[in-house]
Amino acid sequence: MVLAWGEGFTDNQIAQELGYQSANVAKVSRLRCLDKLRELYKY
Amino acid sequence: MLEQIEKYFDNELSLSERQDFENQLSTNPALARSVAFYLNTKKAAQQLAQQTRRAEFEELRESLSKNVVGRKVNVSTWVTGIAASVMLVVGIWWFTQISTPRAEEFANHYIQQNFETLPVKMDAQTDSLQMGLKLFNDQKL
Repeated sequence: MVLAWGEGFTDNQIAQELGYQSANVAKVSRLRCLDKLRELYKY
Repeated sequence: MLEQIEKYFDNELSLSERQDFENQLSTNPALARSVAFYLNTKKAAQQLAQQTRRAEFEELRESLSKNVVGRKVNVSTWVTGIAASVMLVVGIWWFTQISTPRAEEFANHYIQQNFETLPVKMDAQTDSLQMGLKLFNDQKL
């Protein structure tokens, strides 16, 4: 998902491609993923 | 926090929200670190995606070039096969035409050697038979 975001796909495209219910759900999932990554990055 | 940062970079904030965000950014080190993380992560994701895409294209290019080489080999194999077949047919035809003399030619050659020129022996004595053969050869008989 982060790769798709880095490649420039919109949340709507990511949702369609990865099977999320909507662009908003994809966006929330992506930001959570980034949050987890930041937590890992801290330690 | 990341959502707000993303809205800022996607120009989804109003003017007052943007100014508020920028003020916070200059005074809040945690927000500044989050912005730095967001931008670094996005850049790293872009680079990783680019590398992945490049590797996929490279793989595709290699497979395509292998297919083209394979096709060339197939074409050259066909051409070589056809050329070899033609050469074989021409060779067989030439061998049958040239190497085996026809019966008529063979007979003419034999007649010329054995009946049109009779053997004359070298001898000092006058021999009526030898003289007759010489006259025959000189076509005086």
